[in-house]
Amino acid sequence: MIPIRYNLRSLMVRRVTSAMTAMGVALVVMILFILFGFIGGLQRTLLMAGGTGNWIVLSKGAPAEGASGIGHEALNLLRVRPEIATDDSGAPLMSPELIAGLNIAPDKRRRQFTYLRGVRPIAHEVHRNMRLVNGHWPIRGHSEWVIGQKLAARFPSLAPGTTFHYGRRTWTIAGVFSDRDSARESEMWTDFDDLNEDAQIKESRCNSVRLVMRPGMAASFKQALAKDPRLPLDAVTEADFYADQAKFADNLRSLGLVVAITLAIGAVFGGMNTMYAAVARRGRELGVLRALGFDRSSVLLSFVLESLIIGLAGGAAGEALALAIGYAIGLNSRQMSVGTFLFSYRPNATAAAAGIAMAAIIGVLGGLMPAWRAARIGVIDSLREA
Amino acid sequence: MLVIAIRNLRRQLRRTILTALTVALATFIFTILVSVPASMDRIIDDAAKGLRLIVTAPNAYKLPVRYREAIKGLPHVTACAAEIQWGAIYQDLRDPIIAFGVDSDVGLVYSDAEYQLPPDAIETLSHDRRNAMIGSVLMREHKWHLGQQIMLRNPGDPNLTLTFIPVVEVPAKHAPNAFIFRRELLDEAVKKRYGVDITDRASFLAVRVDRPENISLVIDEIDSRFHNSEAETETLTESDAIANGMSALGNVRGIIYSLCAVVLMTVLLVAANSLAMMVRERVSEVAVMRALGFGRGHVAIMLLGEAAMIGGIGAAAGAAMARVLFGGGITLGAVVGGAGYMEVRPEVALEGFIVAVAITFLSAAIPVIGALRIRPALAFRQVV
Repeated sequence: MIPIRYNLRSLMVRRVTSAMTAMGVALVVMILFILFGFIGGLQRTLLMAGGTGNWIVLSKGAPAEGASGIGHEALNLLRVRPEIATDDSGAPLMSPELIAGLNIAPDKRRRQFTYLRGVRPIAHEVHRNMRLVNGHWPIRGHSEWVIGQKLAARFPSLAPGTTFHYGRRTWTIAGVFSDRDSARESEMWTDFDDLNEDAQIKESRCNSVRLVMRPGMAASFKQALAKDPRLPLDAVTEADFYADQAKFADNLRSLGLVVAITLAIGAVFGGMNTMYAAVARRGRELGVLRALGFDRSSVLLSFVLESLIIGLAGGAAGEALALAIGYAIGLNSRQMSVGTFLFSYRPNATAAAAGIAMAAIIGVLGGLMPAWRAARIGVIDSLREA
Repeated sequence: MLVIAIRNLRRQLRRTILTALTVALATFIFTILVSVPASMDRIIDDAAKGLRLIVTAPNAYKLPVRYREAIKGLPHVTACAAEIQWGAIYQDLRDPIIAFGVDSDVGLVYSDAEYQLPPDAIETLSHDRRNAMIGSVLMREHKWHLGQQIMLRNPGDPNLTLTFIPVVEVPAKHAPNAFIFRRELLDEAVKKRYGVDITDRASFLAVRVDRPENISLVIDEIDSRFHNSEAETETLTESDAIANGMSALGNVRGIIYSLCAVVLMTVLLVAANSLAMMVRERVSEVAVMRALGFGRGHVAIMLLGEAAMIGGIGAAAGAAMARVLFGGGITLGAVVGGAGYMEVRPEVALEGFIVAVAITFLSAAIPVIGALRIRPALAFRQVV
């Protein structure tokens, strides 16, 4: 095999061309890295909302909480299910929740649709990862809200103590909560009865029920729901529920990949140009290498390797560029929004691996055909040039 | 010079083709990306020419339909119609349709001429409860035709299914993916299925104002009329309401323009690399031309001309491909409350073409400047 030093020295001889080709690869990898960082941030935000052992119950067939309605009778039947864990006092760890929507953006021309969730005090035992950052949880009868940390950061005007007119009354923001940087921090929470009373919901119902399942009881619980006609409900783990919500992130990923792959094809063409020029310029070198005894496969491998080195150098540069740009414009600390969810940019190992893989593929594909041509050059013809 | 330039391009045909293909791909992506906000802006601009306002109640549980009568009585208001939004699906969850149920006053708020419809087209909605008006892009995407029966259903409940008959096709220019039906169909179905009466519920009220100069006045009148009421209103012009809806997408516009910038930089680099190689290989040729008496200007024109030709061929191919594939427009699913739509219009394709050619031209600047600095005597020393 031809020593790799030959390739490295060749790259240094035409360093400007190599650098420009590598930069083309770098730009493609940068897009991919940043895209995967956004997707990673969005998915993390959604998946972190799923508590261990927590389940969500919706009315049968409801695709989302807003479309679900669970009546009083079903709630009472659920309350006595043995599969639901209990607290120290024996009360079931079960939180009926009411959902409303509102536009929280102060500017009329913008819309930031947010969920307002009405809960009872038991919710804080069910959602065990929630913490108060400041202020206090809403007190029943006081028309108070607590706001998630992400929402508070996005809208500083919604600080504790400020008021907001919604529905039939003016509400006061009583505090800020955190929940492991999850999607729940994009919501606002209030007392169940205050929201119910303000919305004047005549029938006793809630939109969803969150509960803590006893270990090993999931199958029994699902069977009970399936068999009892008085319980027209669906139940999934919170992890599965939010994973399903995260599926639309896959659509964003597909869209980004289409752009990145199309650009990558362009980068492959650029790489081909560079390597074909290299092959054309190094005809006599190739003849000498063949005359020295290196076979066609060694020449092929050498040129593919050279192209791969350009690709990987571009990949590393692209990822460094992505990190630098992310730092320079404060991507990590900025809140992005898609629908009701606020999330942060999160570069991760998957993003890094995808970038390097893309760079390697571009490098190999860009060098393959020129390498094939190099390997096919006749020894006599190339030495005759000398 | 043109003949020489063409011959030069053919000499290194593989490089020419590869560079042109890169420019073509980049132009294709750029044109499509730029078309997304351009299409949305066109819908907003189209709406800005109208005399319509949209009344919503964003921080209330519902917008009462009965507000319609109070609004109709306000000065400078000529008509008011209540509309209810229904997020349905056509065949499965991957095919969402945002449909709007309207009441009988819709023909007073929206006119046939405004939407380039045949006379009395909107009035045909009242001939049959199942009649619907559908945007031409939505019709084309689903291969629907006028008079065909279409069934839409509620996403979480297959038992809530409604049948419609398209009787009017709305031109793409105005409402490419509109789906408008008579709301009593939905009201009755929901009452029958769930026992819930939604007849007094509206997603928004569409209001028609008599003259443009009265728009701000009417907005203030409506919002103060319902201040401190059961559902406080927020009234916007139709174009502001659409822009408002698009802002719900988040930072998509910023992301798109950032991607466009990266695409252009990639083209710049690849084209610059290729042209630099081209110039480097022709040092001797440039030296001979200079020695023969061709001035720097001639040499520059020839080299830049070749760059522009490569860029032009690639850009034309890329822009043409984008126009052919997406010139008829595509809907963007349930994005932006149903207004999500993208169309590559000729002017956007032309913009993509011009930008790509300009970038390729720019990418040749540095190599060409280097070539012009060659002194024939020194260059000949290398040649000989």
